[in-house]
Amino acid sequence: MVVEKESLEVYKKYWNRLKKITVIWMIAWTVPAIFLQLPANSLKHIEIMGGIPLHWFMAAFVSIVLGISLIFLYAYVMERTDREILGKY
Amino acid sequence: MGFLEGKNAVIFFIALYIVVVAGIAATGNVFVASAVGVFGSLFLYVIVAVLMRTQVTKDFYVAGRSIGSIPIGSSIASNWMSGASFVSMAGAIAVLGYDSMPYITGWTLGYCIAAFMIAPFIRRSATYTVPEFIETRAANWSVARVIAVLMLFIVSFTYLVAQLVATGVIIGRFLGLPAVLGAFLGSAIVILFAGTGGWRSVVWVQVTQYWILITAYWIAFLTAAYVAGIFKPWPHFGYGELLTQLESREVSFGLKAFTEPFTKTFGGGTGEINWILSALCLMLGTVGLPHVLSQFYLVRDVKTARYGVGWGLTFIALLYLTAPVYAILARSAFSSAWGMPIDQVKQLSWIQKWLPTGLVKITDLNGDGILQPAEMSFHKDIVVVGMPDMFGLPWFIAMIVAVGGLAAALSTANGLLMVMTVGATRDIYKRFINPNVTERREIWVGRTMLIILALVSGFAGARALMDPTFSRYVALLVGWAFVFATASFTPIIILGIFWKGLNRYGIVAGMIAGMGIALPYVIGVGLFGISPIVFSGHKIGTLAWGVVAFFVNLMVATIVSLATKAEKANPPETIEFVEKLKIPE
Repeated sequence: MVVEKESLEVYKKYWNRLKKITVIWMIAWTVPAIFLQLPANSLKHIEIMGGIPLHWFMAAFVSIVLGISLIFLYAYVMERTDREILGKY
Repeated sequence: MGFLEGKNAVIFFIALYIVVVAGIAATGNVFVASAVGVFGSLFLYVIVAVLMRTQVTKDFYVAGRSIGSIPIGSSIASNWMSGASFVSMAGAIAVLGYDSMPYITGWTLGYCIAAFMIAPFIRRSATYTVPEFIETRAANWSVARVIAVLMLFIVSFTYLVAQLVATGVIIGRFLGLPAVLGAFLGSAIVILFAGTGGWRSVVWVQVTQYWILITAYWIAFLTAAYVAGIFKPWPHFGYGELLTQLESREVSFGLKAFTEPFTKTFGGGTGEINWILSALCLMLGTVGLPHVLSQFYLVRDVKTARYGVGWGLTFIALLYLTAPVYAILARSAFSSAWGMPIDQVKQLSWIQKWLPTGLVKITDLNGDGILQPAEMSFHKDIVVVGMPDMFGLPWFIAMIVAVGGLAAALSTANGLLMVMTVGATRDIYKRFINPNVTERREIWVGRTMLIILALVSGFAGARALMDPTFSRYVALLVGWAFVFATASFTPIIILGIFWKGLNRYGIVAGMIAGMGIALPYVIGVGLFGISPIVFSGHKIGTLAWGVVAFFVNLMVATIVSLATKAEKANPPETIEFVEKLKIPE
């Protein structure tokens, strides 16, 4: 891609959007990485599905599935952004 | 392209392998089927490597930058999951319970950081190696590259030695060959994978190895889960009752319940703060490990990099979400022996089989003839390796587990060997010794480096198998690799991508400060047993400390860059390099 004056504007807009998306997704990442695990001492009293303590299930299942969903959602949103701002298909 | 070329051929040979091994297994000849299964899998990988051979440097170094998102996802997953993930992780959970969960979250959620902040940009940089990326980012300052190559060698070499040890142990355990021989066999095999086509061969071998290892893990898991009756409706959700039984048995023997949080030591520390920080250190360290980063170079484009990391984590999760359930199955199997007369325990068929190996030990400490929990100790490998016997599963499940464990150890080993080979060839030979080397010669230099590196690590692996002290240092270094990556590479790479103000002084000062904070603590607490820092009653272990070093590195790099901005601002070509990272081509 050749850099021209109008495309500089486009690049700036793209980078600003990307920065915003990155910040949002990194904040979302703290949910499985930190915030679902913090209340372990209270969640241990809650049992689900016939005897699995919730704090264990958060670390052993929920947070990882959430992490995977976040990555695919990011890839999808960025793909749309590429198309919308840069006109890439 | 004919039918028996490229991907079609890979699929054909995998199918052929399964049919042949299943056919021999059906005849019931245990030894022949095991040998054909194990050695046949090695042969299969060599075929894949040869099919993907190449003479082009771009293929050799970065697989032609042509890999799609699902293949790279499989390759990321098998590159990541080592012999230890396959063989020892479920066992570590069975021993530590909830307190080992930072392994599960920490070794998975790092890939989120990779997806959002690193992989697409590394791909866009169009460099060939992580040291090259760092040198270019540090305004073509060669010192930065040398430091990066050194880091890469220390981390990758110790990791590779650990993989060869695992290969030796697996071959030794299942085929009765000496483990040292197994380690050398491992290094010879890896030379064949990587020497043929560099990364192009290694990626496709890793793809094959991923599907073999995950199938093996799941076959053993699902059959054991079926026997244990936790398909209610599916093992990952149906173990509640089993867990309740296990925990009440533990409490009745005066132990803490399996899922009781923050009762044991993890990474040298205790308590919730240590738990959270240790997990964060593993996440941050993941994206600073050179053999993880280097895979992001191999993909077709930026979009593929983003989706590829998603598939990578999905495929990793197929094992990591299963390991905790595996652990509960195993723990409830051996806890069922508690309270039984010891003579009777020794009659159990799996105890009889594994007692001579030393992986299970039974000693009647109080002499009452009844087995107490403390009187039965087990090595963490027994969970995966011994599971087929604990649940009385058919003999071929054990063979499948061996093939899977071998695939896991070898897939990580060939990734590590490739990273070091490319480092030695491109970052040292081509950069500093002979920049005008011809393409043909460059690949031969690469192959020679590969053979030397594989042989040296083969000898180190054999040494580790024979000398427990040496082996202990290897294990310590592997554990610390995450702390060092967190303290040195990760903050610099993230800052380097997102802040064009970071200059070469900031880079070097940040890395030195990070390591200066991490190294003394890790050596003091981890090696010499100095008592760790205590923060509101929680001991901060060596892993957890890595997060402190991460932030120190970030702050020092930022402050030094700002302070030296006047005389040492980045030259225009560096600014341009950073600008280019932002926009997909």
